[in-house]
Amino acid sequence: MTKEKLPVSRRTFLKHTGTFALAGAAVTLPAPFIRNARAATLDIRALMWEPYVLPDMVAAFEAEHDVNFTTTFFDGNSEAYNKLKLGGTNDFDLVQADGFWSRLYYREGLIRDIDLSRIDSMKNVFPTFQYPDYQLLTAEDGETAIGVPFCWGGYGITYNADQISEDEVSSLNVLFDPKNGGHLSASARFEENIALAAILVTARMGTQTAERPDGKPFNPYVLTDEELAEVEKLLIEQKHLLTTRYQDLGTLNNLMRSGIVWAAPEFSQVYRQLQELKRKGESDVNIQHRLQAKEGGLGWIDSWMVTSGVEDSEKLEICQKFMDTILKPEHMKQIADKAGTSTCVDIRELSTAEERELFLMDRTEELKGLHMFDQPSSPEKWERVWSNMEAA
Amino acid sequence: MSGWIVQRWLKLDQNQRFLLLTAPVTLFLILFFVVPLIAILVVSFWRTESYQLIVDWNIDNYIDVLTEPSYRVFLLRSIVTALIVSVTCVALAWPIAYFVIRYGGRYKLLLVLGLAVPFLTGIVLRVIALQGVLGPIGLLNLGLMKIGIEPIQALMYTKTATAVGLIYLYLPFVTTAIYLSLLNFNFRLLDAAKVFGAGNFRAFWEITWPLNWVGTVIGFALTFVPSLASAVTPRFLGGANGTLFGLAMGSQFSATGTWSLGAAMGVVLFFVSGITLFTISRIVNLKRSGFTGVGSRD
Amino acid sequence: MYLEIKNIGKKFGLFTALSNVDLDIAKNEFVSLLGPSGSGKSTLLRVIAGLEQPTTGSIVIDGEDVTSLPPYQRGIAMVFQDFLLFPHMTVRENLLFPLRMLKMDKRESEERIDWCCGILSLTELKDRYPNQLSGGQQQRVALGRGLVCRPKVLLLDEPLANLDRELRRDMEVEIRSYQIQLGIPFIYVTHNQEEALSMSDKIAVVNKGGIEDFAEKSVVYDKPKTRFVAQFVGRSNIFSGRVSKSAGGPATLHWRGNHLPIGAADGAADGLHASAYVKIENTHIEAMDGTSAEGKIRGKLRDVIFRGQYAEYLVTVGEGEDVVASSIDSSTLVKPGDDVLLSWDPGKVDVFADGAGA
Repeated sequence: MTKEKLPVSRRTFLKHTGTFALAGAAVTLPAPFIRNARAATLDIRALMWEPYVLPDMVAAFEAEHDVNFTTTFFDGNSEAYNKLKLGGTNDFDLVQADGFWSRLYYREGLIRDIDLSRIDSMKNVFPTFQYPDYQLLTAEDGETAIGVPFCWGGYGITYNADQISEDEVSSLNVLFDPKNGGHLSASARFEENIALAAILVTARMGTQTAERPDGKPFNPYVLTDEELAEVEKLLIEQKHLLTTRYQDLGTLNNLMRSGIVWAAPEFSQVYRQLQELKRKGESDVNIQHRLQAKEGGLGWIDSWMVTSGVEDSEKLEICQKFMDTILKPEHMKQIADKAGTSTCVDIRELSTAEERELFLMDRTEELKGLHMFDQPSSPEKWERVWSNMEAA
Repeated sequence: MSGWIVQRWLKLDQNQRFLLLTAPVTLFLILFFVVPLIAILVVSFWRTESYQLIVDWNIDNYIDVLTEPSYRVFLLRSIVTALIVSVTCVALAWPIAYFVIRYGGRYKLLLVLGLAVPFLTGIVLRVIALQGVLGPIGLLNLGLMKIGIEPIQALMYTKTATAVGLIYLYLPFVTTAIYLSLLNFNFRLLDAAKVFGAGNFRAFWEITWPLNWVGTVIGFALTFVPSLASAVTPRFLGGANGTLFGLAMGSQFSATGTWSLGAAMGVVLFFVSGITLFTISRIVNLKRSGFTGVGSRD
Repeated sequence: MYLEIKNIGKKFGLFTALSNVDLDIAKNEFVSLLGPSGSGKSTLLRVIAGLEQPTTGSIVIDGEDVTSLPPYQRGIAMVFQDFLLFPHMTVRENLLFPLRMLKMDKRESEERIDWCCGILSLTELKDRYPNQLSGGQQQRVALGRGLVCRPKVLLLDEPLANLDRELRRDMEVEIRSYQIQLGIPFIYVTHNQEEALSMSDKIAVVNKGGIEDFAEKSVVYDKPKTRFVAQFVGRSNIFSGRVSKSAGGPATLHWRGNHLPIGAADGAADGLHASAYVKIENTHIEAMDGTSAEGKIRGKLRDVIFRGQYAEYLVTVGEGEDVVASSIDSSTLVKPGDDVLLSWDPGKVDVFADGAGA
C-alpha cells in the first residue's frame, strides 16, 4: 500500500464502520450474557417479583440471622426460568414462580426439596393451598415438598356494572361480544389471552369436557391444533373490538374510570383501586369483578422455592427460616397492602370487613375451579397464533 | 520510560500508527458489537422448543420470517411508518432549524439545547407522557370534549398515534442534524445566487438544499433506522392493530421465548436497516455536498 | 447617464450607513469606490446590487428605475471578496448558473462558457470543484461568473483582497482589459488606493457614508477636494500654521519660524490657521551647500529607505519630527547625518483651513 492511498482506505474504513455502528445501535439486539457465578457463605440471594419486597422485614431478618439478603427482580415466569437455565442456580438461593412452573423447575433440577416441618407458618396457610387440595408445590411423587404457597389471584373480568349486567359477565363471551365493541380491553400477555380464549372456544366446541388427547384433565395451556386455529379466529375477531391492549395497570385504570372500557380481564388490582376510589367518593363508576365465568377461569398461585444450588444444610435452614418468616400473618398483611394481592395465608383476623371482601378472603374455595397459569404446550405454535392475530 | 515510548512511536510508519491509534476503538467495537451480533446470527440458525434453545442448524426461522404473512405485515407496517415519520420529521425540522439559525441571534445555542430537554427523561417516560396527551382521556381529547367537540378517534391507540409519538421522539435528532449543517452553511452564497438571477425559492432549491443535503440525510437516517426498529412507542400508543416489527421481535425474546425466530427477525431488520443506510450513502455525493478537502489538488 | 445613483441613503436602525449619495456613471467607465473599512462603500455596492433596499433615493440603470426590483431583475452581476463560488458545482456549472437563471438555450450557453473559459484560461479547469482550485483560479472563476451573462453593470467587492501581491498586479491589468473589451461600467470597491489608481477612470472617495470626492483619478490625486481625500489618497507631509496672504502675492504659511510658500491657497484666509498637504514625491531634498534657504526647511537627514524606482528620505526637522521627501536631483549626494534643505513647487500644495476643533 502506498502512502498516497492510505487516506482513502482509512476514510473508507471509517465510513463502513460508521454505517455498521449506526445500524447496530439502532437495532440493539438483546444478547445472551453469561455471568460468573460465585457462592458466598452468608449471602442469601433471591430472584423475585419486585412488589413483594418488605424492606423492614428483610432488615430484621438479616440482623437476626446474621446474613446478607440481596434481591434480583423479574417480570414473567419465562424470564426467571431462563435466568436459572443460564447457570442461575449458583447465583440465586431463593426463587419465585407461578402454578405449574414449580414442578417444571423441579423436573429440570433447578430447585431442590424442602422440609415443611421446619416451616411453622404453614399452619396459617388456607387448606385450599395445601396438599392434597393443591398439588403443584409437591413433586409428582406426591411426597416431596418443593415450595411454599405465597399469594394467589385470578384472571377474572373486571367490569363496569352500569354497562354490563351480571348475567352477561357470567360468560367469557362478554369479552368477545360485538355489542361491546370499542369498550373492551385486554392485557398484552400472549399466554393468558390465548388460554382465556381457549376456555371459551373449547366450551363452544365441546372439547373441554370430552376426553383430552393427553388423557389428562382439560388444561387451557395444552391445546390441539384445531382448537388453536379456532382461538386464533376468535382473537382476530376480538382485536377489532378492543380499545387497546393495556400495557400497565395505570392505563386500564384510566380507561375504566373514564367509562371508555366496560370490561377487561385482569388480576383484580384495578378493581381494588377503583373500589377504593369509589369508597372515598372520588369516582362514581360502579366497577365489579367476576373471578370465574361459567366456562371456566384462570388463576395463579405464586410460591417460594429453594434452588438446587443450595447444598449445605446451614444455608437450606436459613432459606426455610426466610419462608417461615415471610409467611407470618403480620408480614403477609403487609404484602397484601403493598402489592394488592390476595394471600395464601389466612390474615382475616388482621383485616377489615371491606378488605375481606376486596381481597376475596372468603372466596379461596373458588380457586379450586380455576385453571392454573402454566407454560404453553408449544410456545412456537402459540407465538404464531399471536403474530397472526396481531398482523390481521 | 516515556522517552522510550516516544522513540518507538517515531519509528512506526503511518500504517502502524493508524493501527495502534484505532486499536482501542476496534477492540471495543468487536467486543460489544461484533461478538453479540455473531451470537445473534448463530442463534438465528438454531431453533427453540418450549423455551429450550436447541442446536439444530436450519434456516426455518428465515423461511418463517420471510414467508409467513404476519411477519411480512409487521415489516411492511414498520417500513411505511418509518418512512412517514422520517419524511415528516425532515419537513418539520427544516423550518425549525432554519428559523433558529436565521433569527435565533445570541439565543441560538440556547434554543437548540432546548431541543434536548426531553432527553433528560427516558424514552418510556416520554412515550407514557405522550399517552397522557393523546390518549382517550388525554389532555387533547379532554380539552376537545370540554369545548363540546368530538374527541379525535385517530389519536387513540392507532398507527397514527405511533407515528405522532415517533415524530415527537426523533424530531430533536433531525433538527439538530439540520441545525449543525446550517450552522456551517455560508448564507452569503444566497446573495450570490440572487445576484446571478435566482429568486428566494430558486436560491433555496439550488443552493441551500443541496449544500445541506448531507445533514438532511443524516437526520433522515437518524429517524428512519430507530423508527424501523421501534418497539416501545407502538407498544404504548399503537393499540391492538399497531404491532410493528420491532415490537413483535422484542416479544420473541421476552414473552414467547422463541429466541431463534427473534434472532432471525433481528438479522432481517439489520439487513433492511443496512440496505437503507447503504442506499443513502450511495445517493450522497460528497463532492456535491460542498465539503472541503474532498479530492486532491493534483 | 448610463447608471444614475440619486440621493441614496441607508439606515440600519439608528446607524446611518449612507446619506445623500449621488453618482453618475457613463457606460464605459471604470469607477472605484475608495474608502476605509466601515465607510459604507460595500453597503453602497449592495444597494446598487439590490441586496439591500435603500432608505431614500433611487437607482437608474440604462434609463430604467430599478430601485424596487430584486437583484435578479436588475441585469447586474457581482464579484465577491470571498468569491462565493457554489461549492457543490464544478467550474462549468458555476459559470452556467447565471445562464440557467436567464433560461438561455443550451447552445448559446456553451458558447458563452467557452468564450469565458477562453479569455480567463479556465478551459483546463472546467470540471474541477472550487475547493480543488487555487485562490487565483477561484478568483478567475468568480470573475467569469460575473462576465458570462454580459451584465449591464459589473460590481466588484474587493475581489483582489484575498490574493497575494504578485497575483494582484496581474489581475489588475486583466480586470481592466475585460472592462475595456466589454464596454460596460465596472464599479469596484476597494480600500487599496494603488488598485483604485491603477485601474479606474474615476474614483469616488467614500467616507462616513458620504462621497467626499468623485472625479477623474488624476484630479482626485492631484487636486483633492477635501482634507480627508488629501489625507487618504497618496502620501503627504502635513504642515499646520498661520496663513499670510498679501494682495496679489503668493501666500505663505508660518511654520516653526519658517515662511513656507503655499501657492494661491484658495482654501485659506489671511491670518487664519490652515494645513498644507505636500505629497512626498513633490517634496524636494537638496544638500545645504550655501544656496539660499529662503522658503525652505532645514533639517538633518536621518535615514534613506530604498523603494526600488525611488527612495524615501527621512528628514528630522525641529524636535524629532520627520518629514519624508522623495524628489531629488540625480546629481545630489546626501548621506544620513548631513544637513539638508526641503522645498516644493508652491503650485502643488493643497491647503485646507483648520476648523474650530482642529
